[in-house]
Amino acid sequence: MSKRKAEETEGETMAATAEKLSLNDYTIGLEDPVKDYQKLIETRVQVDEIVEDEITKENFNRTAAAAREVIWRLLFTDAAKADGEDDSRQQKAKQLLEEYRGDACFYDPIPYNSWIVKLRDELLKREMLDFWRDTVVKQQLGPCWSRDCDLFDSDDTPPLEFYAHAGCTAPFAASLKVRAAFEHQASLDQEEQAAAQPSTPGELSADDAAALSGDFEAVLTKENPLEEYRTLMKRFVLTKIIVPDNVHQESVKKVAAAAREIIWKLLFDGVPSQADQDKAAELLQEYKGDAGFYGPQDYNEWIVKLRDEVLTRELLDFWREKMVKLELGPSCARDSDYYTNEDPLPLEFYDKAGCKAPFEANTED
Amino acid sequence: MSGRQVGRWLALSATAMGAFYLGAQVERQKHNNDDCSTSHSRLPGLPTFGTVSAASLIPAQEGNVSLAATPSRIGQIMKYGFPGLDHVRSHSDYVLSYDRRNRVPHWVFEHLTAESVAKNDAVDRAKCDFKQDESIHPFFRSQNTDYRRSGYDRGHMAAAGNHRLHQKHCEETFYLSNMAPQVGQGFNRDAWNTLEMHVRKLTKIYANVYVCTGPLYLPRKEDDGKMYVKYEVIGSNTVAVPTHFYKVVVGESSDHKLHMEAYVMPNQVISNDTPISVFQVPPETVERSAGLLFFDQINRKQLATINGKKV
Repeated sequence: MSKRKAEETEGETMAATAEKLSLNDYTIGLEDPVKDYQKLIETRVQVDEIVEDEITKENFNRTAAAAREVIWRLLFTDAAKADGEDDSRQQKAKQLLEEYRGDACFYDPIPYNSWIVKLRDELLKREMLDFWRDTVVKQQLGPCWSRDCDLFDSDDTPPLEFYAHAGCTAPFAASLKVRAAFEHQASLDQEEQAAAQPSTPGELSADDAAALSGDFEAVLTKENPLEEYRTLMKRFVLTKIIVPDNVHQESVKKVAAAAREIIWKLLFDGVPSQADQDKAAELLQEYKGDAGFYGPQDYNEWIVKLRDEVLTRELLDFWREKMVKLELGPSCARDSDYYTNEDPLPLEFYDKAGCKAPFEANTED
Repeated sequence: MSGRQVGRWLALSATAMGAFYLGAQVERQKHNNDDCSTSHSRLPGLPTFGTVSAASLIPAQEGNVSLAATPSRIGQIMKYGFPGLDHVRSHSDYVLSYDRRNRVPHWVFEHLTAESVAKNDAVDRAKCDFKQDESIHPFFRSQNTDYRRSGYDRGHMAAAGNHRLHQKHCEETFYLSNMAPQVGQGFNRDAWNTLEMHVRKLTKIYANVYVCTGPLYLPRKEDDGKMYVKYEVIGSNTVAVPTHFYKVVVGESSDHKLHMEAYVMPNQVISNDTPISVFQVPPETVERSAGLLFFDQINRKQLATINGKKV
């Protein structure tokens, strides 16, 4: 135990002990017994500070004993036998019994379970059959068990017998029968399954095998290069299997080279149509995004060459509308986690043919 | 220099040298003894783990029941390796790693034999109380008040029914450090209990059954298409309510073959007619989600079966 812990718990224990000595009164009145009972639980049992378990247990035991005594008196003491009076007393007993049983299920079911049998016997002896049927049986106020208490599980015997008096049965008897039938069936099923099949370990799919070896062709066509590029990435790069870094990098480079090649062809095999320019820009945007993640060095070198070629061939629409407007210059802190605020933005790249970068320089702190 | 002077000088120096060597010898002796004593004393609070050769089967018959967490018993229980080493605590019949952030275990490890799970009149579950674990710092302790009226049971990770050699073994499973919030009806007291009984039944087939049990916090895809790990926390100590629980079990058959089973069950109401085999999963999926390795002293290829299928 660390010193710090020792000090803390010591202080708390002393406080708890003091409380225990000063509050020795566990009275539950007949006027509003549920309220009195709840107050005892709240102040002496359900305490958020750390209190020794023995003290909590003792406090609950005393509260429980007081509750049992009051329930007994409400039901069996011939104080005022006026009709209405009797009803209201039974009502109070019922409410307190429900409340107390709920707590007993959590804190200490054993005393409840033995006492409730005595209560039942007294009810039957006095022939208070309404209370027996409508309250104890119907509300299932018999012994705590695995249906309502985490101190029990399905290994334990359900208290069926408790309810089997005065023509009653446990409300849960039917469900237990159904359950037993199910379990019997389940055990039969399991025996059938026991003859197990030997299984083959999962084979790698062809794509995963190619991704693992880096052994695949990467060629894009002018038809639909963006889709083809995405498919290649999905099949051989974005796999769920673990691929060694060097193989993975090679695969990324392979697909990137294919993208650069087809963009070059789309733009510079003669004069590009508007459709081809659009395709090139689409793919360039996608490729730039991936490069910003996988490592932008190659892109940043090559994009300068592409720009120079675009300007040499006077593809000014492509330069203004695509490369400048869509920010297709070198990768930087605006689009990649390879960079931070401290890195200079590539303003001068866009400083050609009367254009300006589509973004401002870093603000100086 | 006269002969007598030489003689006296020789005598003196012989005495001095003799004294020096005698002293050195005594010092060395003393030092050696010190060495012995320090090598056996341990730092307080650090567990020592007995080593057990994985090649030898532990005899199922235990002559005497140990009531303390002895190194030999811990070594037996942990024979196939520790899933992790965070806040390991040893009890007389199970070993636990406590997750201080979530106020529930990371894992518990148990070694069961037919004898240790047999009905025993000397052990009464009803005498056991759920109690806070005083060995856990108050900041990270779960309490009964956290669980009361939370809608969740105090769910045992190391089941009480697995430890019937002695009342004390059973009582030690009632520390709240061995609990996690579990759905009561339909799970803790039913389907999960069925799985616990199944593991106990395995002792009829295998001489030794080793089982690791713990919580999982699995991600779920939400409406925005993203995955989130989301779980409730209860009480003033914010005890985590795991989304699932696992059990990874290894049985040692009499022919020294090893058989593994792995289960993951959602912490929710499961209908009584669901066979537990539905919840069998490959052991590595549990390892990935738990961030732990189970039975890593066993090469998976050495196993005779996994979830009933030949390897």
